[in-house]
Amino acid sequence: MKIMNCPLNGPRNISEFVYGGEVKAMPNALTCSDKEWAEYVFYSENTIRVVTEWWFHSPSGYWFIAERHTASDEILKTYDPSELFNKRVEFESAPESAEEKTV
Amino acid sequence: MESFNLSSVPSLRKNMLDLTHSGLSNASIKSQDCTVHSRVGFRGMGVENFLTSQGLPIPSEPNQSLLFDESLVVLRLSKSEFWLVDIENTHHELIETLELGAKGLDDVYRLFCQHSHACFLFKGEQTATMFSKVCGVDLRRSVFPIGSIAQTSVARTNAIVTRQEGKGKEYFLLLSDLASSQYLWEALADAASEFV
Repeated sequence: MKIMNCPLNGPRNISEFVYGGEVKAMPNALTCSDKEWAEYVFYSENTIRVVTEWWFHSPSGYWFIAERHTASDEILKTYDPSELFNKRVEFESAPESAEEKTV
Repeated sequence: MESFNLSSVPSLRKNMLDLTHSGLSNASIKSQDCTVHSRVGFRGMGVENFLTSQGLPIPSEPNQSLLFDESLVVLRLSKSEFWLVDIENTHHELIETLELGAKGLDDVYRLFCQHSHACFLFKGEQTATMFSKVCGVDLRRSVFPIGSIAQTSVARTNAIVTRQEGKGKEYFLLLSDLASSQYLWEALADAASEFV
């Protein structure tokens, strides 16, 4: 059984964790191109390197960040997301288009 | 929309758990089902101040619990998440007051643990040994003293386990998903049946 170190709960069986995708900078949804948005949502670079990923400890409902090597699968570091995200992300709603207004 | 008060009409709460199928009757480990007893949870950056202002003691660290007024267990599950569990069903008024008092406060969000979780209590010298059969976390007294919390998997079901002491007796409190409660009750009864 693999062991992962949860920053809140300590070392736990890997079966208690759920993968949540790579940590990536979100492009501005209002100004970016469809290609940029698709790359953010769907694509990831599949190379041998250390990746920063979201992981979820299911019994405690806790999201955190782990750094993992994609070849050895070794988990190098885990930490609370407050180390990377220290303010709430606000989503501005898209302005209504003229076409929609006339309907 | 008017929000529903989860603490309302506690007398109408029903537990669908069938306790008759149990190997615990002869076991040295005594178990009790506290599922219908009142409890409330809050999450948010304002909860610590809210509970303190209500005169409640709170654990200083995440994954710690303490006992208030002999039978109210206060669990701190993370920096900003707290659950209050009434194990003898004597603190309903306090829990209802807290739930109503939290309405409309900034950074205080009510959690739904009353109707989402089952709550079991286990007593007996061998309880930690019994848990070692079904849980990967070491719950022996030397490494899991009174007031510790483990949020982990018990018999393959997500659970919150804490060790507390009230009226001179130690016990384990277990909170787990309500939908799996019949399975978990029987699994733990089976695990406990060898400790006669």
